Amino acid sequence: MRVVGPLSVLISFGLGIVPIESYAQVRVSPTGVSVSATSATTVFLTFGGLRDQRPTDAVWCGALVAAAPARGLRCDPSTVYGRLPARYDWSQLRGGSFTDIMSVPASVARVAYQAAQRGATSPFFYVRRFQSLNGAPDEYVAVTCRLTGGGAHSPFSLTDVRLEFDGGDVVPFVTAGQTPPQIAARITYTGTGRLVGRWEVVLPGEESPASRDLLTEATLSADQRGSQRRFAQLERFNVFLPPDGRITLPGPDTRTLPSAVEGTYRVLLRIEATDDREGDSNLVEAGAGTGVVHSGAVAGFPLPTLRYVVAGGGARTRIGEESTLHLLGPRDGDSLAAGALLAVTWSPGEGVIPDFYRVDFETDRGVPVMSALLPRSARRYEAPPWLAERAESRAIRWRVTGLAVNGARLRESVWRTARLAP
Amino acid sequence: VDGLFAVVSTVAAWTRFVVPYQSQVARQSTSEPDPLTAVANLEARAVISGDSIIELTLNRPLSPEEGDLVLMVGDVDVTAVSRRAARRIVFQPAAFVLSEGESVVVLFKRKGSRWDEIKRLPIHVLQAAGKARLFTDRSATLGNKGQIAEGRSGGVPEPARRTFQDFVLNAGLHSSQQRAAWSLATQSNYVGVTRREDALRFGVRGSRAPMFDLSDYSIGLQSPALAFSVGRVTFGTSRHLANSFGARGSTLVLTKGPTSVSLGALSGSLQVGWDDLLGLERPTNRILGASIGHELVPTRPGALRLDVTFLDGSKTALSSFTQSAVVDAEESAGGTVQISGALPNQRLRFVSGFTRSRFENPARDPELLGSLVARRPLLDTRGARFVEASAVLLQNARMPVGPAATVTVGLRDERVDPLFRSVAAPVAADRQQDAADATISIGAVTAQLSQSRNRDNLGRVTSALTTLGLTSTASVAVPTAQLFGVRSRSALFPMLTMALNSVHQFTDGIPPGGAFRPSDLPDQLNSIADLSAQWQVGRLRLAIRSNGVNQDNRQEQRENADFASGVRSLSLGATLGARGDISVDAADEFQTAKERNETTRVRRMTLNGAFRPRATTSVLGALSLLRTRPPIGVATMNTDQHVEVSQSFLLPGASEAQRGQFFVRYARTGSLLPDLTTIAAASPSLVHLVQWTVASGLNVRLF
Repeated sequence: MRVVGPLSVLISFGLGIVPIESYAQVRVSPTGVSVSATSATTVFLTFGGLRDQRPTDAVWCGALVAAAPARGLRCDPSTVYGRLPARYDWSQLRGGSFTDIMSVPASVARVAYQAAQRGATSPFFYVRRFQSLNGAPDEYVAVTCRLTGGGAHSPFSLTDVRLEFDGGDVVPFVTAGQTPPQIAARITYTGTGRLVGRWEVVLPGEESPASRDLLTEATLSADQRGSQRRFAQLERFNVFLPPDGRITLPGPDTRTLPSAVEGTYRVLLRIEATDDREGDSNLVEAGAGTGVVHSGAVAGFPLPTLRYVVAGGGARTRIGEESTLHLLGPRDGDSLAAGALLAVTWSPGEGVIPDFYRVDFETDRGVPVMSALLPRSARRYEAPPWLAERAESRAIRWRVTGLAVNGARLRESVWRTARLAP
Repeated sequence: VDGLFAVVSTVAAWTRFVVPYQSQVARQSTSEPDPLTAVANLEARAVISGDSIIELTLNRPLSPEEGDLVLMVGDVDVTAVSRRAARRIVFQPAAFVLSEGESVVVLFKRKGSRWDEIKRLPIHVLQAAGKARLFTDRSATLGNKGQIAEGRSGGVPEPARRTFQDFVLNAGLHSSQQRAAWSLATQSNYVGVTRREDALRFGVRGSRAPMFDLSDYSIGLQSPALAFSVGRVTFGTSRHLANSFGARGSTLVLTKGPTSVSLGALSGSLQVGWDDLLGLERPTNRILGASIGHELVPTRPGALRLDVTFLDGSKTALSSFTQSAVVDAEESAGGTVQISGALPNQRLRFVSGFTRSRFENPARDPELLGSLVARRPLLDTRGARFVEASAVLLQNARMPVGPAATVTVGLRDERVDPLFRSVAAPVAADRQQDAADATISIGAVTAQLSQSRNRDNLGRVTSALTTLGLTSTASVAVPTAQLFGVRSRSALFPMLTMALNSVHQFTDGIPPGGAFRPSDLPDQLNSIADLSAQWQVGRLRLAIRSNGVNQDNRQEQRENADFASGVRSLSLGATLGARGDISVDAADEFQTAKERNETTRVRRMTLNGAFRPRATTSVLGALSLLRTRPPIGVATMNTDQHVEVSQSFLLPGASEAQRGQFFVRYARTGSLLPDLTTIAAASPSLVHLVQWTVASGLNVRLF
């Protein structure tokens, strides 16, 4: 058994001194990638040159050995770190080419790092096995994974996407006509590049998206891109992600979130493929066709969705509350110039008029700033000029609550936000 | 002589009688009135009950020219519900009882935007008034949603269900009970469906997902010294150990004087549904934590505070309900010490913490390990530390020229060891970062500057790459109306913001044995610029934004592999009051690969409108166009339109709460894409893929 170290693999595959065909006929692009030593990394791979072969297992390991009598180099069984979990296996076999999405879990990179600490070389390998359907020997094809910080020169991949509503509710309930809470996407990524995509919403009465519809576009093979189902678009985004590894992507303007019809709504984060040199898969080198497949923003999982429910008043959350109180002004999200007074106005709507109104002002983090108690005839309240100072330059949110004479809460408006210049 | 005498006599008489009179009148008309003072019916620091009447009497009547009175009790403006007389203002609590504990009554004189304090009266509310009050609320909406027609062009695959009718039930229960010293609040929400694929947990449990499921619940019991919460809770304030970790579970916070103790028991990931209601059923997915906080200067909370947190937990390889990630099974146990302090005027603040965490990946992920004899990561104990400090060097300081200035500077140092990890805090390990920032406000103009340096491979592993980073940012916000002192038509002057960002990442050399070639070593400088202008003129709002990025690769053999990209956008919106609103957004985006001289350009436009002719009728419409021109091949176009009409109605003989709602919606999506069968031709043809649906629904609110 001949154990092959990373340098010889580099010579064989990277520099091309020894033709890769001498080991296997199936080829892969890229042959080597930089992965994060401390977190997960996802890479788009294209295997080409398949002839009556189907891919089987995919394994990470610290060293390679000759696969004889099979072709190529396979993992040294004593250095195996794990196999590609089925939950991240979004590979596709199409004719003579095979698109593979390699998602390296942090625990695999951790084993490699600890081995390197003990004196071993840090690169490790991802080995795909291809089984012949006509009795020919199996082929093993390896990709070298180099340990880095996961910044510039690593493939631009999304490894953790968490969608959140402001206030932390998992499935907020709001009443018809109310504005749902603000949405944000907390994203952990490797590499750097443009994050381009759109926020969409699945309206009540529409079929839910399939898992494939929720994959990022770069996770699909080139011929599958553009074929995912689209839903009503809320907003587009196009932002540059520096090689920092983390970003909070603001959600769509809450004014665009529909809530006129009662039912369950699902907000989708759709990510489009962008040009990322580090994640390029060269189809010619892989023997899978012509051209280069760009895979900026590849991800090894369908993106999560957020639900909110438009329902009656008893179903409520901290943000979306029962309401027949209609807020008139200022509009949600409006900015007020320095020195301008914040005057809030509302109408009582239909039904019994409350005995009192209470206007609450809080910071956007929910820290109470002040309130005002007003008689049933009130429709307007002018906030004190020191409100911005008390809010410590944070955006504030406000709402109006209708109270009975004994303090019972009869009606409540939604929260609206306003930005006050200091 | 007689004439002269007569004149002198007249002047003397005028001087004696008229001048003193005029002086008296003039003195009366220009003199300030006596300063306003007030006396209260309570002594300072009086101990009162929650329904006590508060009465303040002025030393003289307040004239209309002087403004009016404002009475604040605690943080509540109660002026409008107080009885007022010429010299007196009286507040009798109704619909609002005074909160128990220390409070303050403040009487202001308000004229325009100026508030002058007349009287301040600290009080202690012994006991909030009234007996326990129970409020309950419930709701349930039964809805029918369906697709009544569908159509498509050739090439669009037929959907699994062309037409369908599904039913949903959304329900919620809410209650709150208050006594003088404690309050209890409960909330629970439920989602029911008739189609399994729409079930709340279909993505997790597939065909085993319950058709009627618990969306969320919370129970909260609070008193001045205790807060107990069950349901969706958060725990921890330690940056590296447990940072506002949220999941289903329970927390208990006990407070006594300057000391508070927090205990938490939570699920390892945020889930929904009936399973594991307390979040503690699965030992392999459970987190236990305790935190003790103590004010070292009890008389001045915040002056110097010490927090100690302990945590022990494990997680399965399962993402949270609204999360998708590449995850592992994890276990960690650790502790942190954090100290924070501030001067009384908050001009000097600091916070620092040190954490140790023992971490391992247990062999509990069958998808990763299967039947393999795999090497597993070893148990490792590592540390993380940070210190942050900020100082207000100038605060509203008068400058020789121009308006007053405020200058704040901050310093930050953070080190996270290689392999450091905690199950309750997403921390980037193996990183040393030092940063400095400054915030400068001169009048209405605010600018921020910052610079940070970082490096990784702190363990100096020879075959791993070491990356160094330098990040610089600068931003400025300019309200042009204030800057130029514009009073009239100030809305025409925009708020301008500009931000510049530079990120340089590079390596300190080729790591031996790391399988790196020179072209694999990062050396990249990213330069980012953002500029925006916003106007708000009455009901109109306008925003213009521009963003540009230059990715400059500098490593060997990759010097030309640069990118340039950017976005220019315009957004215009108008509100029609209660009748509706309308908005238009347009943008031009591009990305150029300089090495290949290839540019992808995207142009888009979106139109949204809402019209509410009556309170019960709503019409919504949206149109979006997206044109993408790739560097090679033909341009593609995507369109999306939908129109929705909804009408609410009262059910015959039903109560106000039992409303119904009907809606109908037409939606159409279209794509103009290259025909893949002709893609190799010199001028490939295009295919137009269209799909449209008509959906309808009827909701009935049961209660």
